[in-house]
Amino acid sequence: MKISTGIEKLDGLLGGGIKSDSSILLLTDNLVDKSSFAQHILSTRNLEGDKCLYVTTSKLPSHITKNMYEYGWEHKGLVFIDCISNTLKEKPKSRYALKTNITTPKAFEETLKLFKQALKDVKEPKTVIFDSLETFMGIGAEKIAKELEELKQLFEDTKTTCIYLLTDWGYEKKELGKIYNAMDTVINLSTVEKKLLWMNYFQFNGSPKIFFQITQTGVNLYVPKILITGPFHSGKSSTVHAISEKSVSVDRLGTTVSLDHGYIEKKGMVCDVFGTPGQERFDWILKILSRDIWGVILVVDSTRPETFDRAKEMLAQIKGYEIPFVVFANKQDLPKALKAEVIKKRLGLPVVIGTSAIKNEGLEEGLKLLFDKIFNI
Amino acid sequence: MRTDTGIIGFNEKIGGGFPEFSTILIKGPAGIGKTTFCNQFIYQGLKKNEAAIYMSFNAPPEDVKENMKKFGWNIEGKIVLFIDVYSWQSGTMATEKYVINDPADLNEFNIKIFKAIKELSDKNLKRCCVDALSTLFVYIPSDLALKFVSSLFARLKTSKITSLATLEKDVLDTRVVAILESLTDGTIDLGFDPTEGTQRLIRIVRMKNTKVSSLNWMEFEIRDNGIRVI
Repeated sequence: MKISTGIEKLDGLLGGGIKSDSSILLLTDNLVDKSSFAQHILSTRNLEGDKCLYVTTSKLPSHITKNMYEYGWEHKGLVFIDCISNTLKEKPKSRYALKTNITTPKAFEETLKLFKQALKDVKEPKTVIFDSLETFMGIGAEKIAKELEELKQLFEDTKTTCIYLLTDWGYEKKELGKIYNAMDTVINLSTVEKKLLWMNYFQFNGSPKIFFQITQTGVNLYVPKILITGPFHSGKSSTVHAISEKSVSVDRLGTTVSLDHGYIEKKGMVCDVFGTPGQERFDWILKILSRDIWGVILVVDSTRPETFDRAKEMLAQIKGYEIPFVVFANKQDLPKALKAEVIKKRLGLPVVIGTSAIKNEGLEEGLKLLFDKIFNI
Repeated sequence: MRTDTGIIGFNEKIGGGFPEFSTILIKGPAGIGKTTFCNQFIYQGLKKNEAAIYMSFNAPPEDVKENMKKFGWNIEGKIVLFIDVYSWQSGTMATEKYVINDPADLNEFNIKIFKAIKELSDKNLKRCCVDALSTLFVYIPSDLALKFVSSLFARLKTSKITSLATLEKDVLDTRVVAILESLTDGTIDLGFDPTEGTQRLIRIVRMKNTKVSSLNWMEFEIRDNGIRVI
């Protein structure tokens, strides 16, 4: 049976969700907040009626519940297998608390003992976060893999879905391979670094990278940059404002002389939107803004077909990058506006959506089309 | 290029300063002056409008600042970013950006260091100190802690930062210390003179790309204006 992670695109990649009663590895680089990512999933499972367990080897249980509370994630009834409180000289509250110091070689064995006991005690079905495996990597991947392999039967018997977390601190491929082999599913979480920015993404089985950010509403997909371009007075700024939660523009006499910036966060998507000025003398800005953009919205004024050549010219300046784009045939609210279908033929471009930035019509639909093109799933 | 250590009388012993972008271990017993050594090194950079990252394990940032003031090193208005790995002991979860809430969680630690480096990347970030690195090993298995340290040192180096990391004497076993030495560019020992208990001594054990004037123990003292090697 497939069960949802609460992260729509991840469920999509996994063909509907994670497999219940199986072992899943979240393998991450050292710049992903893997615990929060996993907690989002745990919260979803909790809401869908699973009993939830959390094995922690590095974070205090009170900090985990506080983190989940702050994100608004369900954490009611969480059962902790607390392997860190005693090491940090904090009094553990859970009945499943590791007595020995986490740094001792026996810690892994003792942790498993507590874990197995908890699996037997807690009602079914259940989801577990094991945060995290790297604590024990010092004893060798082979030993760990052997134990994890043995746990699989217990997971089946006790209806347990277990999500292991492991940060790759530069382990040998061979070592990681042994851990992989003890898993049913491996999901990669990694980071792309770009100058001042960095972005996390997840990936499964060589799929495209799905970028995400963990914001106040949880794990959200992230489109780093979408460019809104088009001729003078086609309604780019209005479009940026209409589709954005927050937006700023630098205006002079009602026309944008430098650029608009907006920010969208809805339906699990987060992205930055940049609007360009339309005048030819600002084409140099277009060139700068078009660096590493992920998608383009070309806005045209449906009442002024004489500007369509200019619109195509502007698109041509960035098209070389094979960027996904959609055309917004704007000002559909005006009586003289040409229909989207007509404009599509005139422009000879594949995706043209009729919009009205003023009346907020067609924008959502157009955005959705663009997102689908970008994520391609 | 050399990085001015700030320690009076010490630069000339190591060819003008630490090798640029190096990581240096400072080992010694409690109370010998490791933290003062770090503070003096950090202040030397701040004075020249360099930025610094200060990872503090054994005292809250306020105490570090207070301590620096006693030597006349006022860091108000200077760009130094404290990563506070001490205050978690108060038991409350802090929301400040650079307070580490779970000292055993290297993931959180790593992300915060990374953010700090990014934040200061256009602010002339040149120096970093980790005081005391050995504290990490109290609540993290040593193999994992070593992996983390190795990744941290590599990041500091590629970020063109010269760093000091202190080790409390006898906290770590010799195998761990040997690996830490292999991950760094130099080691400096601090100790008390065994025959004359209060006399402080300093010794350069090793230093890459450096013509060291002497590998012998040298005397040093902590004066009102900081450490001075005699």
